[in-house]
Amino acid sequence: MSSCQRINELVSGYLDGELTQGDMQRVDVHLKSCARCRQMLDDMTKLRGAVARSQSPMELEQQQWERIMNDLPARASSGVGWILLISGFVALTGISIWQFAIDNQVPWYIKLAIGAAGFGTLFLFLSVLRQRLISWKSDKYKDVQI
Amino acid sequence: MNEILALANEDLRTLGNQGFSLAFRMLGHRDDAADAVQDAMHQMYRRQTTYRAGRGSVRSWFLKIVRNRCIDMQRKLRPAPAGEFLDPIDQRTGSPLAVSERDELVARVRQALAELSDANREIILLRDFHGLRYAEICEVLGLSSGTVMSRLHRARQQLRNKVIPAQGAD
Repeated sequence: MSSCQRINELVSGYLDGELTQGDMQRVDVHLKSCARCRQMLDDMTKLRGAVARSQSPMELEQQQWERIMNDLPARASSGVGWILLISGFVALTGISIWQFAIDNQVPWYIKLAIGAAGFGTLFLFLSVLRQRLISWKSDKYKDVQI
Repeated sequence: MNEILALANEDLRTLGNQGFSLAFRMLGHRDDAADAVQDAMHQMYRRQTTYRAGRGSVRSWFLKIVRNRCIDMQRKLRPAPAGEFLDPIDQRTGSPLAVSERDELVARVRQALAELSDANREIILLRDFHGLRYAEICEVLGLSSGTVMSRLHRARQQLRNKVIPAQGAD
């Protein structure tokens, strides 16, 4: 029985062709001498075929498929658009800050005041954005349509 | 060009239908299943750079995304009708089940599958209906490679015990 139990675990792998060559040979040898395990393999082979026949492969309706395909390029181009817009905005902001910082005609205290106002606005914006994101993620009713 | 962008329309359609079969069996409603496939397609394109061919096929990766999306939707949507996996408008047969109802074993297997736990039914269908290799099942279910064979075997034994009680009840 212990030999049967060890082989038992391998029967599914044997049936599906997923065993190593060594394990395949062990199962082959055992099956020749064990009617009980041969019966199990036979049953499982029949069941495997019956499982495959018991389900109908399903297909998306043409309308559903068109909706999916039409939406894919729109989503992809929207993603590319956002990336370009944000990249351009970040580059322009960086260049402006650099130009402003190296401009010798503007006194240092003016630079300091404008810098403080600019970074203060940025930090406030980021903190509001963070709060909005947290509340959006934890909002149980965000998918409810009114 | 990566493997996701290289997919032809026909490949996408095959993937979509496989995902639809899986989603319908998890959600039990055609429209919900189509929504899950649509969301999964978007995710697949959005996360295309994270796909690694060495870890599994595009099919198993996509089915994993569909499955995860269905699990999310199951939490929010109405529960699927228990044990009902039949496509109400399967257009290939005209009358659903017209062919398979004649086969008594198939009918008993369908009934027994409905009585199995979700996890056991899922692993059997991934292997025997969707035809995934063990490595692909690992990817879809997030299991370690050593676990799939033993879990599948236990599930098949339970199915055997229900369908063929006399020999199956060890």
